[in-house]
Amino acid sequence: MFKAGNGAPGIRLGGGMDTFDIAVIASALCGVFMVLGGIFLLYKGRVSLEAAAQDEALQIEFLKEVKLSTRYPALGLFVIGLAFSFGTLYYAKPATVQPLIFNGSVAGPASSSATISVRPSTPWSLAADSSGIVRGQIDPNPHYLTIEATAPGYRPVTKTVEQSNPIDFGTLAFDHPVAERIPGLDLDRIAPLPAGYTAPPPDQGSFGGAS
Amino acid sequence: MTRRIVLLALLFLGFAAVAGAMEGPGASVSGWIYQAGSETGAPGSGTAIPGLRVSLVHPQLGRSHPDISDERGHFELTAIPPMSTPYFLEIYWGKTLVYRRELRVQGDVELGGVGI
Repeated sequence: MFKAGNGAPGIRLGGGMDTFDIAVIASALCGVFMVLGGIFLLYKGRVSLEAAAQDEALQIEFLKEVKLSTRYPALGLFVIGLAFSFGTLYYAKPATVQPLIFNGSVAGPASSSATISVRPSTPWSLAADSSGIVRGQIDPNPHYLTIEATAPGYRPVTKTVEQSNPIDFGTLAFDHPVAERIPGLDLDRIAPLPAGYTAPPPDQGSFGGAS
Repeated sequence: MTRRIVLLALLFLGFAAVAGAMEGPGASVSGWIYQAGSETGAPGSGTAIPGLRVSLVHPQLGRSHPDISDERGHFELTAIPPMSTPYFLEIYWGKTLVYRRELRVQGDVELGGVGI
């Protein structure tokens, strides 16, 4: 329902809400009740917006830096209520995902054709219960990542790194050629495309997936 | 009025058919790449080539997201919409196209070994 601003997950309860969600809803309701209650009390005449005596004025002091005072104490109800509401909005905003930055290099004759992929070191896996129902959760922020560099004709090179930001993975060297040669252009192995059709560049996929 | 409703219904069905072809699990195309001429006679005995970029192209759909052949030369393209017209399987060695063949995909396709 909501995402924690600090990324700390709460205890998950039924109905898809966790303790943070409930705290956010409670705070929002508090804010609304404070404002509505203030209006109600003003309407009933139990509080008024008349100026109070100087020594009865409402004063709010925060860390000795911020000091607010008013001679209209009833306004305090609205200020506190609005503070609850805005505080709720602030903490309930969706968490921003920080991109991971990778720094490093590849070395070897085939490095200009290298492809680098990154995956969690431990595969994300889910288990089924005795009735075949799968319900679980994964940590989308794994502690360790595996970086794999591949190049045509070379054995892939992998390195596992601890997640940080940025991630410096050093140099991945292609040391083990398996078929180190560029095959000659064999037209028998290249069927023609339909007349007038030009295929998109090889790195511009737009559908499907890969294992 | 009735004519408009019929036209709208046909239009909706057309969109639904296209969406149905584009979504869903789709088919998979898999195989492994080996160095032509390295076979010793037994099936699957050729030298596997890792690091090659494999994808499908189709005149109406464009290019599929590529897979990179692994250490065993294996590749697998997934969620490929079955089409009545053929795809073309392309294999790139770096930036060089080294293989292309026509391929019909109307269900899962296991190509076996592809020699280049």
